[in-house]
This record gives sequence, C-alpha cells and structure tokens, in this order.
Amino acid sequence: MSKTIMTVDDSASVRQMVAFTLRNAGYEVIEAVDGKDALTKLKGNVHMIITDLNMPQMNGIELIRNVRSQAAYKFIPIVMLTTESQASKKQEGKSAGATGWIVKPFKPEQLIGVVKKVLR
Amino acid sequence: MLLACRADFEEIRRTLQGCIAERESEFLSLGEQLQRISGGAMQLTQDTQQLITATADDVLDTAVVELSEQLETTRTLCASSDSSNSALLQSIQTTVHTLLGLIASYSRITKTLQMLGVSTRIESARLGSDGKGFTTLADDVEKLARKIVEYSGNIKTHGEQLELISAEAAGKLFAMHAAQEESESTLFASVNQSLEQLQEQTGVSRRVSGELTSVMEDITGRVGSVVSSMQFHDIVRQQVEHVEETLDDVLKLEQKHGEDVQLFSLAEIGMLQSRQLNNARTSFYEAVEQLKGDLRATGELVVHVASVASSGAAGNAVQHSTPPIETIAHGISEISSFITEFSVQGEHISTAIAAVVDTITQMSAFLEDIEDVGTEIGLIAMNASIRAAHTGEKGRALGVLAGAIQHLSLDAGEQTTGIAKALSDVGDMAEQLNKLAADYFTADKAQHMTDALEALLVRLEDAAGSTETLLHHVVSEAETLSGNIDENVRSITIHDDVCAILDAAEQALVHTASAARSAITTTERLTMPDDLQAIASRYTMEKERDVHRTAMRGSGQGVAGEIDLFGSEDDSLDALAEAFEDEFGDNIELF
Repeated sequence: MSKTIMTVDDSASVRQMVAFTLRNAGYEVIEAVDGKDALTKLKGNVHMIITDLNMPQMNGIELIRNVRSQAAYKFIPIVMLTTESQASKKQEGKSAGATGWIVKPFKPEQLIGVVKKVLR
Repeated sequence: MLLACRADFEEIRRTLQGCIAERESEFLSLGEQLQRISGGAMQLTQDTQQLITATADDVLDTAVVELSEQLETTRTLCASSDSSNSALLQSIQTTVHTLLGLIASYSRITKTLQMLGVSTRIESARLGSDGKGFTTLADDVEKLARKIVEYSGNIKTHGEQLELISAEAAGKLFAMHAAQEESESTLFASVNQSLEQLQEQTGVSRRVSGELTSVMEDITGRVGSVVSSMQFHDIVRQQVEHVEETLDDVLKLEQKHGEDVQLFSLAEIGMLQSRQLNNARTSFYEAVEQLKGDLRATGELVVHVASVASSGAAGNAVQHSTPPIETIAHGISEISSFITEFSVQGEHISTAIAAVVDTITQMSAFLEDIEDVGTEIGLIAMNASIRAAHTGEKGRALGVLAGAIQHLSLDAGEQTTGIAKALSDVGDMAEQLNKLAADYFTADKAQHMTDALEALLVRLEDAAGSTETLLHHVVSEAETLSGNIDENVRSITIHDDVCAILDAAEQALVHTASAARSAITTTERLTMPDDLQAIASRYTMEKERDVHRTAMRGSGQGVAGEIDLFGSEDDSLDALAEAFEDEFGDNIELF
C-alpha cells in the first residue's frame, strides 16, 4: 500500500510540482494551502508532511508545533520546503520539531531521495 | 522632489503588485502540460522497456535456438533411420545370394544322389538275394533325395522371395534417402539461413533498445530540470513581493526623518530594490528560458527515439525482400510436409522390412530340417560302407556305388553346413532389423515433431511480431509527443510580459533614486536610519542577501555590523549540512 504525504504551500504552482513529483514516485498526495488548512486535513494515515515556511493564517513553524502536539503525528517526518535559507530560521524549525530543510528550488530526485530516507 | 519621489515609489509599488501572482494560472496550465508531456514520456519509457524485454532478454533468441535445435534433431533422425537399414538390407541381399548359390549346388547333389539310388537298385536286383541289403540303401537314398528336393525347393522359393522384397525395401530406402538429401540441401538450409537473418534482426533490435534506454534517461533528467524551473514562479513572486513590501514600509515610516535623510534613504533603497528587481527579472527570464530549452531538448530526444526506432524497423524491412519470419514459416511448413511424407515412406519401408523379417523367420524353420538332412546323410554314408564291406567280390560294383554315395554324402554334408550358416546369419540380421524397426520414424514421431516445430514457430512469430509491432508503436507515440512538445514550447511567452513590467519598474526605481539623490542639499555624509536599514535588509533568500551585500559595498554603506545576513548561528547545523551535501545537494539538510 502506498504512503500518503501532505504538501502545504500557499503557492499552487509549488504544490503542483511537489504533487507531480511525489505521485510519479508512487505516493498518494494531500494538498493544503496553509497551516490552518493542513490541520483540518490531517486525518487518518498521513505518513509525512512537506511544508512551506511563510504562509498566511498559519506559518510552517506553527504548523509543526501543532502537528507535534497530536499523539498520532508526534513522530511523523516533517520537512520544510522554503526559499528561506537563514541559519537562525533553520534552528527555529529544528527546535519546533522539523525533520529536515529543503531550500527551493528542489530537483525531483532530491525530493524523492529525502522522502525515501525519512520514510524508511 | 520628495513628494514626487514618494509618488513614484507608490506608483512602482502598484505596478509590481500581483504582476507575477496574477499569472499563476498560466504557470498552472504550463504545469498541467508538463504533466501530460511527462506522462507521454513515461508511457514511451514503458513501451521502450517492453521492447527491450522482447529483444534483449532472449525471448526471440531462445525461440530461434530451440527451433534450430529441433530442425537439427529432425534432420539427424531422418538421416540415421535409413543408413542403418540400408546396410543391413545390403548384407541380407548378399547372404541370400550366397544361400541361393548353395541351394543350386545342393540340387546338383540331389540329381547325382537320385542317379546313384537308381544304379544301386539295378545292381542290387542283378545280385538277387546277395544284394538285398542294398535295396534298403537305395530306398534310403531316394527318400533322402526327395527330402532334399523338398527342403531346398522351399528354401529356394523363400530365398528368391526374400531377394525380391529386400531389393524392393532397399530401393524404397534409396529413394527416400535421395529425397531427404535433396530436402536437406534446400529446405533445411533455407530455414537455417532465415534463422540466421532473424538473429541478425534481433541484434539490430537489441542495439536500438540499448540506445533507447539511454535516451529515456536523458528525457527523465530534462523533465526534472523543468520541475526545478517551474518553482521560479513562486521564488520570483516572493522576491517581487519583498520589493513591494519594502517600498510600502519605506513610504509608511519615512516622514519622521529630515528631508535630506528621507531623500538619501529613498535613493539608497530605490537603488537597492532596483538591483533586487533586476535579479528577480533575470532569474525569472532565465528560469523560463531554461524551461523552454529543456522542453525543446525533450522534444528533440523524443524525435531521436522515433528516428532510432524507425531505423530499426525500416532497416529490417529494407534488408530482406521477404521478412525472415515469413521464409521460416514457409520453410517449416514444407519441412512438416516432408516429415509427414518421410514417415509415410517410413511406414511403407517398415512394412517391407516386416515382410523381409517374416520371410527370414519362415526360412529359419528350415534350418532344423537341413540339419536333420545332414545327420541322415552321415548315417546313409556309414550304412553304405558297411554293406560294401559285407558284399565281397560279387558285389564290387555295389561297393563302388556305396563309395560314391558316401563321397557324395560328405559333399552334401558340407553344403548343408554352409546353408545352415547362411540361414543363421540371415536370422541374426532379421533380429537387428526388428530392433531398428522399433526406433523407426513412425507417424506418431512425425506428428510429435511437426507439432513441436509448429509450436516453436508460433512462439517465434509471436516474439518477432510483437517486436515489430512495438517498434512501430514507439515510433507513432514519439512522433505525437514531439509534436505536442513543440506546440507547447512555442506557446510559452509569459516571461516576456512579466520581464517587461519588472524592467520598467527597475528603470523607474533607478530614475527615482537618481532624482532623489540629486535633490539632496546637504554635503554631509548621510546614513540610513536604523529602522530603514532593518526594513531594507529583511530577506529570506540567500540570493537577496547577496544582492544586498554587493549593492551596499558599492554604495559604501556596508553592513555596519548591526545586521548579520550571512553565516550560521549554529555550527552544528553547518556540520550537518556538510554531511548531507554530497548525498542530496547543498540546498538540503536533515536534522
């Protein structure tokens, strides 16, 4: 049975490319437009979250904290996918519970490589 | 001037507002086209993989090898069946000829015995009571002569019959052998030649498949590069939004500072943001051009797929006027007919050989009779000697006759031994023929062989046919896909509009910054207030920070130590980044 990954980004074109890359690799994909939308869609079997940082309503850091507070999703991999590259932001993400950090633009083989590594 | 500059900033900000965000639907449409192109390329990959499996994985090769082996088995079996029988039949003919010669000699002995019997009877009558014992001898001799006539007559009849039917069987074998030789030189040779041509064709297909694998890997790489380029809509949108936010915040905050400071700040910020816009415009243009280039290259690779697959299919068609598989099918059909005919002839020969064996079996029954004759001849010879001794002077003539009978008996004995040996030899050959007949090429064997050949041919036709069909399918798919790609590339013009807007905004900022700088009245060295510096350096992207640093160094403003734009606050993150850099790339860290 294929695994389900949630992609959270306020940019529809980024969600499109992430979903395209993941579906081609055999994963099921749920899309959310921001952190708040992601929490409403976080039900059942979600095996991983890939989230942007700067989003309206709820940003990526806050989303991570909310996800980690839920017992069912306390340990699922959450990887940031963002244009942000500053070390202090990365540290903030790590402290909130992020599993990894990808700076845009990603290459499909990179994204799939990270997904396979963290979903092992 | 200050008011004019502020108005310009406001106008530029409004121009920039949503210039990229509003075009998201165009990018989404482009993304959908990319998915269709990628799907098409994926299907082409799958079909190509199927082609590789059909050729490079020995399906065709295995069928060709098995068919070659089956044909060789058929040819060998046909050849070996008749050569052993021919040799035996020839031996039988030779032995029968010898036997008939011996029978002829036997008949001469018989005549002489009969004459001696008559002479003995006459002499015995002349002697009267003294020759009484010789009458019995004459009777025995005449009885023996009659037996010999009877037995040798039987043997001669059967021997002549055997001569005829073995000659007939040998003739049939010879005719079959000649037909088989002719078939071998034409049919089998023709089919084997076509099999070689088919193997050459397999080699061509395998080469084509190998090239296709490499091309499909290149296409996957190009599609991946397009995915990277597509993300620049979001990246550049953020860069432009940062410029908008900076202009907006500057306009909100400036009024508390003096006019020269405000003009100076507007000039510095204007120039800096123009550089950011320049960077954004260049990034966007290059990303879309890269995307078009990658799509164009994908189209060229797909055209190459069609060209390589076409040359594979066309090359095979041009090389042979009739496809090898058709020649093989025709040849196997003829070989199957030949095998069936061969088995029918074989059945006839088996029948003929059975008749030979049967005749020999009947002749073998006479062996015992002949051996009895030999024994009887010996007894008569002894009896004649004894009677001759008893006769004395009066019966001297009878003594001579007895001696002659004895001498003849010995001759007959030798002939009998010869005949018995010949009959025994023929009996042994019959046994060998029987064994060979058990392994002979029967109708059942022929049917089994033709069934096997035809099953192999079906596999061969399936494998060859599916290869040819797949090649043509790949060509057609590739041509359609390359056409779609070409059309899509021609329709991508989004960057022209966007870059025109960004360029205009950039030029406007440069103009406004220059005008603001020219309007500064003081000659003192001015610096940007802290709040404006903070706004000006609010970035998320490393590229934005690079542009800021370059611009600030150029203007002499520097970073002044208050803003740390670069470097990591946590050395451990740098170490982690290094650790994973080689595995995933320098834009990825796993914590």
